[in-house]
Amino acid sequence: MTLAAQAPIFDVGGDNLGTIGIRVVVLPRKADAHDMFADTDEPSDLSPDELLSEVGPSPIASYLERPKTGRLCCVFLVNGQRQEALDNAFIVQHLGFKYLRKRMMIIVDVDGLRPEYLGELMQGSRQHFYQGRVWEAISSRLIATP
Amino acid sequence: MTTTKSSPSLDSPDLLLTLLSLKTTGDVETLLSRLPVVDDTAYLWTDTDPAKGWHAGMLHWVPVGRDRGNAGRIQLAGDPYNPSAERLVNGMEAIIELMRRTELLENPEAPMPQSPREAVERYFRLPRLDMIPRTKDKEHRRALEETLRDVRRQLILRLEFDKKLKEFAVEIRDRGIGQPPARIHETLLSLGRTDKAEKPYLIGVFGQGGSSTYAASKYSLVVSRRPAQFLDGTPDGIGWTIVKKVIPKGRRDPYYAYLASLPDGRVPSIAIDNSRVNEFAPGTLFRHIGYDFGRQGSAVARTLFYALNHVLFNPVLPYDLYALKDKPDPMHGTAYRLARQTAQLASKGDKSHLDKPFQPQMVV
Repeated sequence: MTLAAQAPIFDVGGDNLGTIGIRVVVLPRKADAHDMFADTDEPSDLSPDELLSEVGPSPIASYLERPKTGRLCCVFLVNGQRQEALDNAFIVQHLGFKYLRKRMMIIVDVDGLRPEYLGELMQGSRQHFYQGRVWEAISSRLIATP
Repeated sequence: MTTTKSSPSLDSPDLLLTLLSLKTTGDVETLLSRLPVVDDTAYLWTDTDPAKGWHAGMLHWVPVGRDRGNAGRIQLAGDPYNPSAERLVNGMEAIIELMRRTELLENPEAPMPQSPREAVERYFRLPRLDMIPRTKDKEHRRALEETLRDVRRQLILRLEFDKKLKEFAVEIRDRGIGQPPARIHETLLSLGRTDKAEKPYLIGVFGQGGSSTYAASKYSLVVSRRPAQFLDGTPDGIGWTIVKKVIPKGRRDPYYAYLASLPDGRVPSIAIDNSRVNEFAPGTLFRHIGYDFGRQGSAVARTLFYALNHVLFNPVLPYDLYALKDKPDPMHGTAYRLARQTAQLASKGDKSHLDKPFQPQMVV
């Protein structure tokens, strides 16, 4: 695999903010997963030397920040680091996928934004994006993506 | 002025080993009581005349970033996990920078990588980490996994817990570019002074993210050593310091300060002819002592695994996590773990999952 194949497109021309990359992952319901793997509450990809997961309420529980209470299932990344995250209310209210809310993760890579717009988003705390016009544009694009 | 019970030499052969053995606040306070340290109430640093009141040969508490108003830029984190992630990112940058400097030694005309991902692909032959489980060719995937294992050893986060004192220590150790002693105050201990913006292959922008670990800790030990071939004319040696929060009496503007050996802010160092010098290989160590996770015990180790994987969701480089045990957890980020899960589901013929990348979406 080449870097070009992975890289977001930076120069798309015209009056735009740049691009975002989106990946959506939906895992099987727990019952389905158990049928497939005849496993317990551990994720099937658990390697032998990995920490045991806690019992989670959904198939994505062990991929959240805190398996028992975490709901940050929609993440926004800069250089692979989470800089903003939303809980599954976003999936229900804005995407309309009520029945996927416990199984869906959305990964949004914003490295393709033009540097000046990325600079508007980033905060010194590195824990949230500034909820201004660039954020609104990203959210709108995400909601509108078919 | 508080000084010395036995006043060991700052260049004593065993000082390095003593520093590297510090694990608890008690350890640090015992060492501080033995070193020639001027009390933080007896010397107050000012940017206009830092030499005023300075006692030659003694260590003094100087504000991090040489800014008495630094608390606002250090106390930025809202939870105990993000600061550790920021320190790991600093470590990744130090490893990439070492590779870049090595490349320039061999070829001064080598073009600069245009992103951290490009740098990692060039120097480590690693793609974006979540692409590895999706690699169809088994041999290629196995080779990438082996590379991951080798690279992980260059960056380690170690969590330790003193059950008796109920104290955590978080250590982040990288085998990256390190800093020469004469520059530590301008780099590792600076705030907002960074040349990263000129280097598109590095990650940080503000030059202060990792500093939030100071606010989560009672004390922070910093030790750094640069490989001899990259000293840029500065003296060789191992620089070290200790960071703590200072709360001036009768005032409500705390600040974070480190031990300096000179009024210009330079830190103490251990000479390279010290017989113990090889106990510390080039790179940087931050050990945050008395780290406040808000709770105690093994639950912290468990949460740390998930939280770090979530914050560093698809990190540019992998790392090893030793969370209260001797065996590491390989840390590749949640994106990698999800990709591994969906690849396994696909291989078993599951039709009820989805792993869908979209074409880059233009934002207007």
